[in-house]
Amino acid sequence: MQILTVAIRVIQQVIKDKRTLLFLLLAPVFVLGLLYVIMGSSSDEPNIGIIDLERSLQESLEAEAHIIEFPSEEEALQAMKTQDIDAYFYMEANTPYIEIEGGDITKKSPVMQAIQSSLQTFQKERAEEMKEDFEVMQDELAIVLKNMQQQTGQSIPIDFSEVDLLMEEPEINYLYLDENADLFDQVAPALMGFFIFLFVFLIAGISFLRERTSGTLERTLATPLKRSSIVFGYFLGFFLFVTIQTVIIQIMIVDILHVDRLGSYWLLLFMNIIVATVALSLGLLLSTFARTEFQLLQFIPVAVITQFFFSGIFDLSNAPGWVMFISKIMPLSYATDALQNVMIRGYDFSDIANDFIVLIGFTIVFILLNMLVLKRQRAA
Amino acid sequence: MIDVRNVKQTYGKKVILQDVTFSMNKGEIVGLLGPSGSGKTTLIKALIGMSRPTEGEIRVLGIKQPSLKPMKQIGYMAQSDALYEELTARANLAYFGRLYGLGGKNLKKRIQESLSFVNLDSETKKAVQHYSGGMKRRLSLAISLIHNPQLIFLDEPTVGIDPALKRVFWNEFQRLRDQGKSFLVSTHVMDEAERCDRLLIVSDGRLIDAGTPEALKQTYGTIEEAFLKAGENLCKS
Repeated sequence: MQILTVAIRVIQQVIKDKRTLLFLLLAPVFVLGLLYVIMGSSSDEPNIGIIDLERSLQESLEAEAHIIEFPSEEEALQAMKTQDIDAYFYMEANTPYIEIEGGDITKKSPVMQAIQSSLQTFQKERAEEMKEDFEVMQDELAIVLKNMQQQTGQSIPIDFSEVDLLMEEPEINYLYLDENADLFDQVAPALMGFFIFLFVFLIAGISFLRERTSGTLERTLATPLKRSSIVFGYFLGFFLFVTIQTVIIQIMIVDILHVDRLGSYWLLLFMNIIVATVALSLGLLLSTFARTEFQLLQFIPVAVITQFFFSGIFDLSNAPGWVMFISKIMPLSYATDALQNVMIRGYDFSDIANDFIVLIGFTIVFILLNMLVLKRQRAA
Repeated sequence: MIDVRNVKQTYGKKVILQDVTFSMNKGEIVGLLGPSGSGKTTLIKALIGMSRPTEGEIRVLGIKQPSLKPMKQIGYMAQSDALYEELTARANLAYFGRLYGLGGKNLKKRIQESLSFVNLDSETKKAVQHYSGGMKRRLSLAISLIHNPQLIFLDEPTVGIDPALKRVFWNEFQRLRDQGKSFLVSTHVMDEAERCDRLLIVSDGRLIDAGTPEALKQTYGTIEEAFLKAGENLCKS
């Protein structure tokens, strides 16, 4: 009952504070929309300069990249220095030379891909020509041998094996996602978890902090209210908004931006709400250690951004042991793992049960710690 | 009502209260008189159970503090207004009323009574952030009385309130006292001190004197002198 009283008051407060409400609900939509546009807007076609290339090689490269012809290496180099081209390419005798700008690492692999794939096509064409020539030679040799047979009466075995110089192109199949998936598809689950975490952490933390600085927390604790009730009341009150926010973020990512999703929509939503729950309990806890809003903001680089780095957005498989250890004690690592596996790999609940248990464990620990530190506010 | 024995309160190495011993009876208005920083607020917070005394024992309504048990019978008005600024006066009162276990018709009735007592009946639709300082003070007082408590702690209740309303407040305190309620009021205003039944003079965390306003006047000449004496002690230490 007391929990409900606190929860209702928290809800009333948030509804009255229109700006906070809008921030809570719209900021993630805005940020995610922007990111989607930014991540989808890199061009796949690099600009490659060429100097005096063989006709067929130039044609196969044109299929992969935007081509600009240069009469000399100096001019190509000049164009690369002014960033008009990402690389230039020329042949000397039978050796291909590739000069890459290198200042923009995102262009490196498209350039290499374009050139390598065109070289492959070029070599394949050459090999096909060779094969044709060889087959003509075989046929001619067969005629010569037959004539010899007739003239000498001797039997000469004429049995050439089928010429097979070429390996067929590999057939590529994807277990998850496909060749159309871009960077945003890959990081969307992690981003979703991160933004839910960040926004919930901020709002919950600042509200609870304000309660302390305005003296209302102390005043509330000078009633028969139990310490646990205020924590759970806050939890319950914010849970409503956090759920709405989570639904909005998920609708944005899954339904509006159409990021590929293999797993169950409802399991994803459930896990997102669990992520929000952890953030809620951590925000409430850390706000106890801040005296002002500014001090609370100082926790963000430590408690939130670091988690983002360690959470599996970057590949940590080769990281030293202590990095792995830090990653293991961060709630967002488990959140990202679960969200990625549900969204991209279509795991069901039993596959992510471990992540779920760890996240719930974090929440319980944070809530218990919070009750403990509230003792500073009220002795009993 | 209140029984305090040898209470010592320290924060870290700093001693805030020392050797505080006093008791208070039902139906009394006791004033806690002393300069700023003498430990009045700390004493009130220890009495309502917000902190645990480092040494000594505090009993309130017969129950050893800190405890949640006597809280339903205790009213508390903090020195700074602790109000939810986004909410209306009515919502603030309803929230605290419910925390004290009120509900339904009774809660409505108490809210109405409290609002008219502090003259805020006409302003209940406004969010508290649009209130003046005096109005906020009045609302804080209304909240401390919402659950009809037996023992009321008021920490400098009339700061920022005009003299006319101050008089209304004190008449009401005395009326409630005559009904058997008890008040512990901290103040550094002389005319308020005069209206208390008994005064405790606090200086540098100690009770240096106690008595009725008349008795103190006989010792020091005026209550102001007693207060200044307490201030001198503070400067010396």
